[in-house]
Amino acid sequence: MLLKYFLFFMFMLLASASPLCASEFEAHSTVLGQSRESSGSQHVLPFNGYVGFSGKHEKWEGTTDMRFFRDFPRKEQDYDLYQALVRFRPLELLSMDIGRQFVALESSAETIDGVRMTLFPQEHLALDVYSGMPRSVEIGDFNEDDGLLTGMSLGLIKTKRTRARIFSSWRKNKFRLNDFPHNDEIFVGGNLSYQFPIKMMPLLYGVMEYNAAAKNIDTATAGFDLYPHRRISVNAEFSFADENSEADKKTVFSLFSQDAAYFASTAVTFELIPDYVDISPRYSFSRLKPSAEGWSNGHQLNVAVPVSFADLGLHLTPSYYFLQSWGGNVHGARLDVRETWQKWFGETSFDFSTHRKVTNDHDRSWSLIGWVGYTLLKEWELAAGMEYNRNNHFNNDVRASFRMSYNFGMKT
Amino acid sequence: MVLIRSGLLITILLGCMSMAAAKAKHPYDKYDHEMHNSFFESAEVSCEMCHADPDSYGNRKKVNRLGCHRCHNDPAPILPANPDCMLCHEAGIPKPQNHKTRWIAKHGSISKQAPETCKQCHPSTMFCMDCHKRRDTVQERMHTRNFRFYHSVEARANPRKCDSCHRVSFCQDCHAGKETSGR
Repeated sequence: MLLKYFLFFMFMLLASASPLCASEFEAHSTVLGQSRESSGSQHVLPFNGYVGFSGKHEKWEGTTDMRFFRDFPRKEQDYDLYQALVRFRPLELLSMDIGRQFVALESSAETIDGVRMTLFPQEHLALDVYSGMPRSVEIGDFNEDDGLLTGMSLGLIKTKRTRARIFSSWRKNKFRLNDFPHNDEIFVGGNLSYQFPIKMMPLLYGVMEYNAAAKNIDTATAGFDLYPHRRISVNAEFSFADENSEADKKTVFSLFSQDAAYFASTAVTFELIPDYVDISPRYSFSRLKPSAEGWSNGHQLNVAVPVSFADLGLHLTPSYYFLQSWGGNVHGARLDVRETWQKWFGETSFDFSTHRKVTNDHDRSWSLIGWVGYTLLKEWELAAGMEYNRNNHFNNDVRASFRMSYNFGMKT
Repeated sequence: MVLIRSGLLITILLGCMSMAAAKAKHPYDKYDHEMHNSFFESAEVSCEMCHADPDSYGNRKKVNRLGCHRCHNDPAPILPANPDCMLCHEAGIPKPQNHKTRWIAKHGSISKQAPETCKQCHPSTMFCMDCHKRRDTVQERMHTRNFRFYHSVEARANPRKCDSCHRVSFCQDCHAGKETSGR
């Protein structure tokens, strides 16, 4: 914890060299608090404070975002550092990012403590090279078995209707070990999309990542968007996923699948009444092998009907959802309402679901949440909320919440 | 009678709200052609930047909407211009076409191809981390409240989806009774 604070203040020291004369400075903060009972019937009062700063000065930029957490009755505290990044552009065609940063240039999205260099050797090319230790707020920082991620990516940019990237990365589960394919994995892959300039404007996209250490295809996805009419948009996608079964790193996928998995999804958005009513059904199919005994299919369906009265500031979204897998099935219905009137806003959601699990757990749950907020100044917002959640197995759950947020020049 | 009174009350409320809410102008209604022409002529910017389609001179639906972005939303603008999106988009910034359908599920594949395209509207990487990394124990953001009771069904339908944000230790801690209010 002390080391995190030290890193934060070091960053502020570096970035504060020019905040007063920075050509741009942005900041935001949000305080969230709630009063509720834990599952052990203990009163808890979590407070979350989110703070972010960003400053620019000639060839330098600095950005940081973090969260402070405190539960007063339990005397628990925590600190998350999401990013603490200094970007330096020594040349027009070169930029360097140093510090904690979000990297998503391959099939996964990671936060790393490290360095990323971006070179623009030509108008339509961007070369990224990065290396750092992956971080997760769920397991904390500076552990004995921290890993290492090193990668390179070459992307096609500023090209009409076309996007493409090839990438490779080397992942170490534990920094100190060299052990292919248990601890070390090497990935190579590419992704591509192209939008055809014809009627219906089809957009084709695909991504493939191969694990060279384990000699298996880790991810393959192919899909398309279609716009047959100005009121209709269609998407369909097919995916394949297979993880390295010999890798030391455990994932949720490896817990529930003993082999490769196949996915297919489709969705349509139809503007029933343009600018007022849409209908948006989505369906996903999955096939995976939870045990050696056989394969199992999964289904997910969601049908939403967003209704919008922009002149009144009123938005409603009723929806129905259905899930089925080898774990059971779920049916649910939900209504979200948001109303904005001058400086006030109100949000309400009602969610009702029934589930039947293979563990013979059959139950119904419902949840009613409401927020009312007021915009004091242009970027300063206050809100208060109440919740009532009920489930036949657990106690009734009543919560009171508040939120205060302030943005200074932030464009997110 | 109660229903009639309720309906009347709702109608009056909606009427008041519609009077209070001013209709937002279309960006083209706010465009000053004469003022912009004076800048374009001095910088020798051609009409085709916005009027690539000859029919667009008589039909504004065929005007190249992204022509405005060449100055107002470009890291290397042709001419210096006010970058505030709300200057033109009073009713809210319109989403790209590919955001209309199943965008949350498919955005990973497309955004990684050219992240600089996303930065035109989402310049801060905290926008990505807000969903993927940021912890919020108060609001209903990534999951509904009821999700806690049936998430085992969805995890068995698509376990890869869980991996995009969570480590296995997140599941293990909760199931082992190590619940904290800061998760």
